[in-house]
Amino acid sequence: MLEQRLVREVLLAALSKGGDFAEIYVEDRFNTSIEMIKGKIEKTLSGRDYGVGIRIFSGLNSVYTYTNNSNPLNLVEVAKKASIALKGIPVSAKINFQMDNSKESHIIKTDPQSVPKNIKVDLMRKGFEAAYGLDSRVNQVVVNYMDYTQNVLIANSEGKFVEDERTRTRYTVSAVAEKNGAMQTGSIGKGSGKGFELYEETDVEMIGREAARIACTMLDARPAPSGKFPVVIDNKFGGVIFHEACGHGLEATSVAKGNSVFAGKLGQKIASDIVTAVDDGTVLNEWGSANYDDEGMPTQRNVLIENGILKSYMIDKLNGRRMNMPSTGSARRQSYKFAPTSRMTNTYILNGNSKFEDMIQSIDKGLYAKYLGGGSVNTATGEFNFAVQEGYMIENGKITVPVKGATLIGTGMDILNRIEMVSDNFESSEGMCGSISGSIPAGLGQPALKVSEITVGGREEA
Amino acid sequence: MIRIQIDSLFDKGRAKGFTAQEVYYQENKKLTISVFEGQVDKFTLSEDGGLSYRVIHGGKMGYAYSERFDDEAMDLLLNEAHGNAEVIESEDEVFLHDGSGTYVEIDDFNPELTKQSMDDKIKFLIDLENDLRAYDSRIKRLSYNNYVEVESSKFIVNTEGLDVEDKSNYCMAYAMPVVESDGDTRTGLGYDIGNDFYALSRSKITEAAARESLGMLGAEPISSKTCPIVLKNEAFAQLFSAFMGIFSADRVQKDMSALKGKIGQKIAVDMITLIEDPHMSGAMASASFDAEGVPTVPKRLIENGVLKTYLYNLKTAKKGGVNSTGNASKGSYKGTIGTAPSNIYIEPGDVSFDEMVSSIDEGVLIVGFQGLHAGLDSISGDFSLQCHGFEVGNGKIGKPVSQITVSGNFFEMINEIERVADDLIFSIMANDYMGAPSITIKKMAISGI
Repeated sequence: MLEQRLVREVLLAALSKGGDFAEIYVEDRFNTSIEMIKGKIEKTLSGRDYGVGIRIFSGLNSVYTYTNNSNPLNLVEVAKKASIALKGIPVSAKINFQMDNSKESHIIKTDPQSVPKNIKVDLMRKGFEAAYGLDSRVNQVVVNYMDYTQNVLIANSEGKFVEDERTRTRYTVSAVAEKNGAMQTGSIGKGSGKGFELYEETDVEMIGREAARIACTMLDARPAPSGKFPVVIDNKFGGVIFHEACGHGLEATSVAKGNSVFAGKLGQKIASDIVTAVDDGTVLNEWGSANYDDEGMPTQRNVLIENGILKSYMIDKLNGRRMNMPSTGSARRQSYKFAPTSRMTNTYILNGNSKFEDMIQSIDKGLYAKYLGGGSVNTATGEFNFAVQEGYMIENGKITVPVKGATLIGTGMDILNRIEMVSDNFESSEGMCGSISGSIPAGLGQPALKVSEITVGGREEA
Repeated sequence: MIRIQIDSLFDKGRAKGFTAQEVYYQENKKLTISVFEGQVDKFTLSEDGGLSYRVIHGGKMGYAYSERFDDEAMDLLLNEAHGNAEVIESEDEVFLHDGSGTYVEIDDFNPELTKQSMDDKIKFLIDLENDLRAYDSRIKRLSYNNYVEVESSKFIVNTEGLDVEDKSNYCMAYAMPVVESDGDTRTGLGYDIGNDFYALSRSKITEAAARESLGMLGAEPISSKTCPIVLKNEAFAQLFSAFMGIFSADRVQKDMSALKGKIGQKIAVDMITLIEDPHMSGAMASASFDAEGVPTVPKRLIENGVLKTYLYNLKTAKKGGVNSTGNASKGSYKGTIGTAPSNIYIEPGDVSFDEMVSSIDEGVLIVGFQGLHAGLDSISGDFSLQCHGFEVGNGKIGKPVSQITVSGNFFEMINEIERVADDLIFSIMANDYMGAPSITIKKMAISGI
């Protein structure tokens, strides 16, 4: 993407006025997105992102600069300017690059860019028809398709020189059902770090039917109850509970400066014994996987919590300096427009021994959250919230009527200790996660969990 | 340089048979400074730009964009726009604006801003950190202490006669203290924004951040109940703005807005008048033209509770048999055309906030929401949101409350507003640059313990 000689020249320029570490990140990315509304293609967009980010450290301080003018003279100029901003003492540096491209595990079989758009459109139509045809109350269906291939070059003054290619594709169906003027929505998708071969193994009609089924189910839902209840959170996107309640608080981004409730708790018990959680960027072709992180470190499987004990944080290079701990291959960023920081890759709670049926049976009055929506967290206080997309009451050990408008709130510390049962039905899912280094694909997953008590924000007095 | 390339791009496009073509070019310069414990711990300086290209081919609109501007990139734009137009199945009529209409001049560019001393900008943050830490011993540290300066320029030029350009800039400083007392941790945010660095107020940021964070110390959930609600101005602006999509003509035409068929009908109480004013001075979202180059105009979306208009761009206006309201939007050069408001606000009433609170016997004052992107459905109007605030009893503000949710339905809520205060304020934390006064609502469901 850039000649080694130029990369070296830029890194040396970046250290010319001070600093003890310099890094360059070059990104060339091709995006395609298509939107189908009520069976007709309404929008298609494709384009190319291209830019270069340069980062310099001086101790715990850093400078970041980016440009999409990759003219060699401009790059050297930009690097020098950034160096001046550090106001440090210049050091004479010598850089010997170690090429490191040995780790290429996530093989792409069919490059999505090579697939004609009409094939993608046909695929979208299948999902539309399945959703629209499910029930006469379905009156709107939106199908979104996207793919991208991102090529990156990451090199630094310690001699790292890595190139990586990340391909991702995602397919989403949203359905709106209407009855007597009231509308409800359902949304289901599938994404991965695979090429177009994903759709050989994905039943897109099922995705369409499932989205429509949720929308129709929620039409008949009554408002959720208010108050504290035992809750069963099902697998797949249910993993967003751990992502919000705990994951963000284990990122060095918040831990390094003490802005996390989990700071200083390594080796301590922070969750109930049956909870084991990992962040694993190596899962083959998963949504949040990559060969290397955005600082050029090989991704790895980090055990975050083992049998309730906090084992590790997710750490990037700069925050690692502050924490005096090594990087865990967790540095990520949306694009060259963001300096990388520690982020989740694929974050999972692992299988336990309980059976889903037993969880439901153990509850006299509670909530079953089949599909969750999104949420957010304040890492400093640990307070989180997330929305239930499809929920049901549990009454006398049985799943009964659907309920709508339920948001679950709590604090990370509290909920981790209230996980009472962990089932054996692990499945993963995908989401987009927004934080200070931008919006990135993040994998999620868990088996169904039973939480002994959680605040349900409904409308009906219990 | 870019301009010359555009002429050649349009020539090549004509040769490919495109009947109309448009380029939207945007360039940003951004500076971010972060100070932590007296030192500049993060400093970001950037320049970037991108070009969005759209063409009409066979009556269909094709889009493509690029952040590179070499010959290879120009070919990519031509081929992708062509390929993208070919798969469009929508039968909506599409066209480009010819540059007609009256453009109001908006002067929101301050050429002095980038020249103002960098050392002073850094010192501002160092002083701000010191001010906050000296304010109260319970303020332990700052999780954010940043200065941001952005300069954006853009132009839109097409083959139909449009050629408009715009340049604007702003600066903002914000701080988020972390406060601790008796094992309880809280955060708060203070900010100031404008386009003159020397006009930013440290004391304003300090006061707001300290008040918000310290005020919440000791907050606890309350019992679940349905009760009167006081919604503080900024919180109301954030909540309302999260539902703004319902005014989009595109959503209405696609059966995805409950406001379909409601023009001229009463959708809210008489006291609610919603105004969009793209020409407001000193506002953050002022603009002379929209993302399609159509002149912007002030308008009322809701007048005394009656729905007056949706927000239109060229395509949806044509389909709806009206003129564009100048509300075409584009997230960036990477986006396609949608619709969005510029500066938008709810007209203030005439009671003071204190007077409003004094009329409540037992209720909850909500000052902030969390998870607005997740806990609501703008199609059904249902929401269930984590929030925080204070108990209200016998007309007085009482203990802080957190770890509760408030649930309701937006369409019902705007019909159950009882009073509108005179304290209109704009919030940058809303989806749009939205302003609202504080209000009281007859009753909503609070879920706690």
